[in-house]
Amino acid sequence: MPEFDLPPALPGRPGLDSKALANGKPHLVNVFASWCVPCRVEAPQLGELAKAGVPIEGISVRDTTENLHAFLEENGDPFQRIGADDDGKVQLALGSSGVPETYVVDGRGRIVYQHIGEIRPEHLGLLLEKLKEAGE
Amino acid sequence: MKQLLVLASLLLTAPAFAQEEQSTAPYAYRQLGDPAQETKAQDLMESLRCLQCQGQSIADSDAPIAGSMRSLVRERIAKGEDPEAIRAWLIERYGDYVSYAPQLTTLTWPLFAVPAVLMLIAFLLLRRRFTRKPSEDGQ
Repeated sequence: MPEFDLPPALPGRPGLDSKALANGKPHLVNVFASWCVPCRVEAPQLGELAKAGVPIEGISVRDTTENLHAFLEENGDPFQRIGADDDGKVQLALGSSGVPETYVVDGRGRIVYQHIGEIRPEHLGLLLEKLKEAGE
Repeated sequence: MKQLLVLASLLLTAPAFAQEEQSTAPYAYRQLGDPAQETKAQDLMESLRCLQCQGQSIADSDAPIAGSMRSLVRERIAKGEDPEAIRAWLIERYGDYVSYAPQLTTLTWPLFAVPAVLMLIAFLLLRRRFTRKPSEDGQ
């Protein structure tokens, strides 16, 4: 992961920095936005992953607090932390061309897998496998 | 009346979804103060592909991600970074695809070599045609 430190996107929820990802445990980092339609499609799958105990961190790209709040209200909220990438710099540093994209990050904060596009139900097995590998 | 109708129709439309915000990066829509640096940045921006509107350079595109990319380019140029280093940084993340300036690599060298080879073949063929031996001409 490139080094970054994003401010909170929502009041009362911590923002996201790269150090928080290197805490010894694998994470999923989801790059998303309220204006992104496929992000709605993948919301149930993220919810399922969160229910299975996967720590999911969010990076919200070029968004507003109100829109983000409404989006999470409507589609569910699987995120532990959400960093606001309003200038899109972290998105570029990650090499992400669009939203949504999801990264499997190992306990040392290294990206081990990049999933481009929405997570559909058939991708869950692969992501869980990558997370397991990242935890070994 | 017509104007009223237009106005009424405008009032009836509302965006269905939240809109993507423009980048808040400082140099998405602002030029650098130093004209020499801005020219350098402009040259680079014209040869970088917008990741969203893929037929446009980031200098041309109004997509928000292009704004983020322009600011990245300008901020790094302002810090004195070499344009080619910035291009390399982007290629490292997005592949050769992000650059409109083709790089000479193990994969792309035929693109550069083939025209040269064809020119050489054409030259050899033409030379043969225009320099027939006198004995052949005499037949």
